[in-house]
Amino acid sequence: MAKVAHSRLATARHGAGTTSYSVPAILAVGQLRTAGAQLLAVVFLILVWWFVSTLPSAIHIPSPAEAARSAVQLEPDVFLKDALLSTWRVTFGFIIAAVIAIPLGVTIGYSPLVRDLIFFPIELFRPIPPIAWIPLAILFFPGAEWMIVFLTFYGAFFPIVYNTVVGVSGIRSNYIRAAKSLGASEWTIFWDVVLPAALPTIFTGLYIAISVAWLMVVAGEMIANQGGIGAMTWQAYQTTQYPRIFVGMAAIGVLGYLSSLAVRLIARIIVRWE
Amino acid sequence: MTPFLAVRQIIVRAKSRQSYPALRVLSIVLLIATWALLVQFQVYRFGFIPSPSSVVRAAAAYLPKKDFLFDVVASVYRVLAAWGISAVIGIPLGLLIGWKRWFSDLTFPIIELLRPIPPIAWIPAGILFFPQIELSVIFICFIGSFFPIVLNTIAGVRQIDQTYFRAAKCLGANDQQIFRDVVVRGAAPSILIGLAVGMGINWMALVAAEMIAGEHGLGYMIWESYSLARYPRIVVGMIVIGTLGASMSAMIRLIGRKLVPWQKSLIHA
Amino acid sequence: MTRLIAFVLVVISTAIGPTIAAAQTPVSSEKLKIVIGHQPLTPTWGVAIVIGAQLWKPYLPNVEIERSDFMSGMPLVNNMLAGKIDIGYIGDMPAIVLGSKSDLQQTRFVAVTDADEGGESVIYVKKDSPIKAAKGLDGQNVSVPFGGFTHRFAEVVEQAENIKFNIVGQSPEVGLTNLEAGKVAAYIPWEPYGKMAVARGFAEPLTDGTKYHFNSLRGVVVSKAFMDAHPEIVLGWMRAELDAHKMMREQPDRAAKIIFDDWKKYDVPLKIIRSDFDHSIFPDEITPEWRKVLTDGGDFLLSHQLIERVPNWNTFIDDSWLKKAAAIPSQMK
Repeated sequence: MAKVAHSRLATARHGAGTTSYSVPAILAVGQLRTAGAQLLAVVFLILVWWFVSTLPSAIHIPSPAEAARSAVQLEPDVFLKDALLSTWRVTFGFIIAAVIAIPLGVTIGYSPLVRDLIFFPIELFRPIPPIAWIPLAILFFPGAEWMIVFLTFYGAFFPIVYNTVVGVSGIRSNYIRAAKSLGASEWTIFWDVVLPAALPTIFTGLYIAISVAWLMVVAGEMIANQGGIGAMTWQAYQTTQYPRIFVGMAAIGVLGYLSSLAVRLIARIIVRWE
Repeated sequence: MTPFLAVRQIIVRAKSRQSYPALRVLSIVLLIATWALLVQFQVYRFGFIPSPSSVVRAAAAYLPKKDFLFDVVASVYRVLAAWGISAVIGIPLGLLIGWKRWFSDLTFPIIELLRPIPPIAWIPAGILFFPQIELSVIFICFIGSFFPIVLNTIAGVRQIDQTYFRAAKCLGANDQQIFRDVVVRGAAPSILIGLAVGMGINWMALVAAEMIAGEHGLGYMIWESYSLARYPRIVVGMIVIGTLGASMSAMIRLIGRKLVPWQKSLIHA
Repeated sequence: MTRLIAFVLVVISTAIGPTIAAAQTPVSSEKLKIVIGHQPLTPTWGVAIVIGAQLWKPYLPNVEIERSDFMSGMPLVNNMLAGKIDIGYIGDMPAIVLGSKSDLQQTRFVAVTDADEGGESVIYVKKDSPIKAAKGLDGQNVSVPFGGFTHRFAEVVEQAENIKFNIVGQSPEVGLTNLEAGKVAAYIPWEPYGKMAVARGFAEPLTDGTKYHFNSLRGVVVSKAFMDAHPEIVLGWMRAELDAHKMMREQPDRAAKIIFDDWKKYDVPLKIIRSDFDHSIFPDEITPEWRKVLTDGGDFLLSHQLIERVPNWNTFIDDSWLKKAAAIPSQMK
């Protein structure tokens, strides 16, 4: 049974017209090959940035040099503390969300009853912009730290649940019936058939969730102003220290990118181990 | 039939059902009831949250007004403009990146580097670059919908079975024909999913974007209500935005299914 | 001889001893952590002075201060309503909003930390703008932080000059860029944003509130629950607040330097902070003049339906704490 699942995953990764695959897998196929090309791309980006900063309507957009100078002026220990704080908040909320959402998603995927009782109201909440929860979160949570972690949890929760449900309930009933006819127990079916086949979709959910979590942490920090890269960027904006804004944005971008990379690497490890 | 058998039949029938519409209604009722009770009895810190009745009152005071109409029109306009621009820029870009390796090598890293920066973090840059408020708001929404559209387009191209390309070349098709008949057609289902997802994320970015709006808009209404501590109104705004976002996204999916019935795909990005 | 000296020493020490002891009596020896909220880059300086010069220490030796700085008014009001801030330094309009939400949280306005008779409300136009008087702004885009005291000022100017602005509600940093880009004809922020615009060379003042007799203030709001539970701490803090007023009045250079150091990471030049002191008043009582600022503000917010009801002025404004604190001897150096 595991072999069947494995081959499904393999085809999914090479995307030869299967019905279920994940974006990261597809994009992994077309990733950059040569280091030279990568370098060229970065140089291109900096050139574009420099060009944009010289445009007359771009008041105060710093040139790459100015931004670099501003970055150097940042106190490294304060900046590092902010970066670590933001990363911690994202990771903590993300992990709690995954721990709750994956089992919940599996349960919902298995049981139509649970789906209508619990998943239905969850789906109603999903289109509500997460940022809009900030005012209520500030009222409800006694401390800023819990408030921000709640926001990252909230952002990560929905994509993980949704993708887990889709992944689990999308497994073709043929496989399940075949397994049952071979005398496999409910648990074996779950562990060896359903779960491996659902993993790509679940990981897509995790992949999306980590970026939403970063978005939420930045938004929450901007409003709560209790440390973190988001707070630093917003403060720079409110105090019209323009080059710092771009340093903050770059930091958010890099940290967000590294987090998605981390999730993708963990996904690859787990899938290979399976 | 004995009562025991009857009950057993009901249970068996219940277990094999695929959906329970009654439960859906019940779940909503339970949700609202729990909310109302938690606020009423000030359980933990729920006393600070607006109660369902205060939200209904705020809705009754706001929805019939002209202001609401202006806000909806302003927000829908911004969302559509941003979405349209993302599609016009993002789809061709994504098609090219997905199709031609050299182009992907040059531009894809830039996209991957910019993608993790959330729309709200672009607000300062947006204001500095587009001092005109309307353009900066649309720009922030654009950031929201651009990346899902591009990524889904790229994935749509990449998942096209290579045999189609080989077959087309065998039949003597030139690049333009390949593009039109293989690339675009093959990527179409993914593109439509990207458009639907992008629309949804656009609405989410709208709240961040309208922080700087200054006059009208549902997101602006939320921030104004925040600064005046009128919390029930915020909940009304959240519900309206959620409903509009979900409906517009669903509409796109519906139209998409009509336009592109030839392949079923399930990318969830 | 030695007995005489000893006698004199005893007399002196018995005289000085209690005097020293009295001078060092704290108002409260209670050990507590209190949360002070405020918004930097607004003229709410009292907090920077009290904390920066540690004026509260002699009166509240065992109290630990936790500062909650917010870059905009919204979360500050939000946190006060959530009961997370004990003493908040906020502007007149947000204070009124707080007072009007007595159903969510009871608060009391206990002191005016800084006030002015028009000097804080300045209309800025682009440098070398053809507009030379307020009348010239009829029909023009004017950038104002929505619902703030300068918004009310804009209305007062409209009524006085019989003109109509096109009010664009923008936060000060957005309006700053808009003025520079020429997207708005005028900009009415609070300081130091206005002076920063001038310092950067693209703005100049057109007129200000003194011409229109427009007063504004910034104040101290305390949560009622905190006040009831720890009255001595509130008293001690008010004593420190009075010290701060004295310093700002009599030693403005020293005060400006303290604020400058406090705002170090925000990069505001000392000159700009110091120049704002020229038109500032630091009242030790909430006189009818300042009460009127609050009641007028409440009427403004109510007329625009920005609040559901005005605060109960009789209970909300409470300067008894200031008066009691004035009776305590000052220990400021």
